Amino acid sequence: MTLLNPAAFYLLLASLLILVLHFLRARERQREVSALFLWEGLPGDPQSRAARIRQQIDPLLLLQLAILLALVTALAQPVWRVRTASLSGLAIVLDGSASMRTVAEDGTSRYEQAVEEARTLLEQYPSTTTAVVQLSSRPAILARPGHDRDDLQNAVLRSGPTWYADGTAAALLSLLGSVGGTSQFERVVLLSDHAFPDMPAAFETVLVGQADNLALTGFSVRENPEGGGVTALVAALNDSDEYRDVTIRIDDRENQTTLSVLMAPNVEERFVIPFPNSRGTLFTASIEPADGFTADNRRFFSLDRPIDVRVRWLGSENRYLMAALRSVAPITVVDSPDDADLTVVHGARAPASPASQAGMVLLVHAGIEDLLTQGETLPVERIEVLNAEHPVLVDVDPANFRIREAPTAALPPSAEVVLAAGDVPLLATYADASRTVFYLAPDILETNLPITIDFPLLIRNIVAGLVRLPPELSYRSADVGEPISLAGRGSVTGLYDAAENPISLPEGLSTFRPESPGFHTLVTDRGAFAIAVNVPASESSFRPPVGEIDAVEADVQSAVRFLPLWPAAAALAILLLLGEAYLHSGRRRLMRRTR
Amino acid sequence: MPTFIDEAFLQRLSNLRFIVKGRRKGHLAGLHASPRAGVSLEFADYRAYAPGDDFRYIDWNVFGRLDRLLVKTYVHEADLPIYLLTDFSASMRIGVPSKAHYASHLAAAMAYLGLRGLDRVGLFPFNDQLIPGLPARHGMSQMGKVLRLLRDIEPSGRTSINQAILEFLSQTRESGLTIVISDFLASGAAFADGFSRLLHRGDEVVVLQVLDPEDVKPHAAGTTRIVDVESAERVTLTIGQRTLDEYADRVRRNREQLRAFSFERGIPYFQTTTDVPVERFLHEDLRNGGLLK
Repeated sequence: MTLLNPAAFYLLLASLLILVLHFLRARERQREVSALFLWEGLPGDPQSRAARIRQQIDPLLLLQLAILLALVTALAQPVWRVRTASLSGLAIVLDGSASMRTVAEDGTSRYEQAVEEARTLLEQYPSTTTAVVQLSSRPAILARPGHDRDDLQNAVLRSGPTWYADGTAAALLSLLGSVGGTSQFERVVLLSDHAFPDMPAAFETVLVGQADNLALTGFSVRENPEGGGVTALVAALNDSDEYRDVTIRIDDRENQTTLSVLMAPNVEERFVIPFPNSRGTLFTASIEPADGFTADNRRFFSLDRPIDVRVRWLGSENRYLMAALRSVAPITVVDSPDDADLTVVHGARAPASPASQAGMVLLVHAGIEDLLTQGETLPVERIEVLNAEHPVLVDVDPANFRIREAPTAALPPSAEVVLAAGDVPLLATYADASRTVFYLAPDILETNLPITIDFPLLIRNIVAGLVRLPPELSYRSADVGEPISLAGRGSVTGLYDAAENPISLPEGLSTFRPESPGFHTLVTDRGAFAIAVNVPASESSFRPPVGEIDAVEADVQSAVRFLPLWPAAAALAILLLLGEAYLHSGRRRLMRRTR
Repeated sequence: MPTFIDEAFLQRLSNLRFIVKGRRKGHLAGLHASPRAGVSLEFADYRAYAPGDDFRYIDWNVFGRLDRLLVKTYVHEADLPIYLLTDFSASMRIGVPSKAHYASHLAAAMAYLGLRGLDRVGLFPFNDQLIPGLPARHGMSQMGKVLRLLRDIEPSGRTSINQAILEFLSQTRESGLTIVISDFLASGAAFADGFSRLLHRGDEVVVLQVLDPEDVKPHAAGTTRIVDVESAERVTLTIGQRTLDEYADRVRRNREQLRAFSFERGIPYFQTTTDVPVERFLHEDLRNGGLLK
């Protein structure tokens, strides 16, 4: 017998209430009689202690406890597993997440054990329509529903574990839906190293290769602010019932540092490890001794610096504007328009074709011959916000700006004025097929902009509108299967995994999902960039076995069908309730007679 | 009117009447033979004629043969005062239906039978003293008063049969059929003196002991606080089968003492429990026991 909702047995605590009420009532038991002299001096019951206890046990109490037990049993949804000779449909779900790569002492991985169980199932039902799917964060159909055992066996044997995270019940249901729906599978057997808490109760789980695990579940590195080396932050997990002596090693490919600690059982601890003599940018953390799941014994982190923004500067220098630009990204000033990501024109009139690589132009108190000509300078009394929702004003409060004067300007009709003072445009944008222009009208030195916190924010927003900045964090540490953007680092010429195998990217695709852990390398015309990829930390975390959650442990050797027993338990509870009511009413009648 | 008395019940009693052993000295005509010779259809004896006797009662046939004037005397049929001393102490509250309810039922039936036999019936409820009741009267109007009184009395207080009888004797001068209805769950001394006084006055005494089944065979187990419903005194007992056996033995001895007491004094003794229907008790026990016919 199996309980689909064993947590219902917590309700048995209500028996304490029944017992307390019973003993409170029993303590008050008294009897009115017509004549006390007939009772005085009567001997107490000299019978045996057991007989006294038996006599004191109230049948009502026993009935009430039995009713509670029957009700709780019904709520626990007991089912009887009935063996059946054949199935109308079988779905075999192989857990393909990274933890299934764990190798047991006999040298077989959990996935190989799952494959063996799957093959046993296939042999057990030679004529049953069977589908085989693989469950992970990227689930896959290994074999569509069919009868051909050879095809099914080959599909199972050809499959292998991924480096992805666990899949979800929703993903599995969606996957089974795509092969006909769960209703056509009389039996769904999940072969995994742990139970899934959100899986439907009717799905059976076969556990393979549960074992202790020693893992690194988090790793990052930051440069010391005062310079000189780095500091590593490591999260380590001891998923075992024993104290473990572990050594955590940080390696930057030139130097390394270690930390030896004694880890308590079943804990996840975080460590801060100084690494003052580090000069590298690619870091590997490892925990020793290694165990069967070696992938989570190492984690990677890339401290690759962000890519520079190449700026072609025209006009007079302005250190406030340059400082604001540098606060956005590292800036490299270039001379050739072909090498520039961005053209900045300050206090000048740019030529008609300020060619830059992307045609991205920032005009600050400047113009362009064929596009924008500044006129006479007029005093600015009040700044009007014409489009408060414009992206260039994100986090910016124009009310903080004080602008003494600004020149008039003749803008193209398609230009959008964001800030203005009467007819004088103060901040405007213009875009056509060949270029994008941001125009900031006033002379910065005639404003309070350099001393406001809004100015670097404004410049950040302008640069973000002109240049696609590379995402930094995803390169530093990404999980297997996580989409990583390749944009902002120049033209991609190659992408390689940790084993330096080339990864082909479809034309025009600017993201990729790494399929294995380790340092990946992105090669562009701007250089080579390391991408640190790790096994998802969820693959190493504590996992409840079957029994601690609502999951059914499967018996691979036989087909089972669940026969619900709760109606019988509920009927028994009702019968007992009626019996209790009858006994209770009889007792009340008797009590009335004696009063 | 108490709900336990209905017309059908009374009609079913219509074939019953009291049997009185001795001849009563009632001053009103009734259906009971009186020791006084009187006018009726039942011949009693002869006596010598004395001046002033009714000539109609001279037996002329005897005169013809014996040449003596003798006067026939006839049994004087006198009414019988029936006194219903009914216990309404707190102990009569016990049981469902309560013993008081059962006793009221019996008293009402007795009153009906008495009044229907042209007797005077008085109701004297008591606990540890006489509760204001109804002096003996005849006529069916008395029946309504009896029923109303029975309806209105609530059992309360302790029991003192001796005291109640003393007060009863002081209130009634004429002897009669005195029916005492009680559970008699007391020692013999509690009522012996009273009964002796009743007998001494010439009352024909009848004892009706009404018990609850739980008085006879209680159902109890475990540690129980036993509370006297009259005195509120209490004892705590761990009740087992042996306790119950001992109790049953005490009750049996108590009943035997009452029976022996009654027998020694020629008092008819009847015992019933409240689970016995009143009608059955009347038609079987009291009829077979010679109180009714």
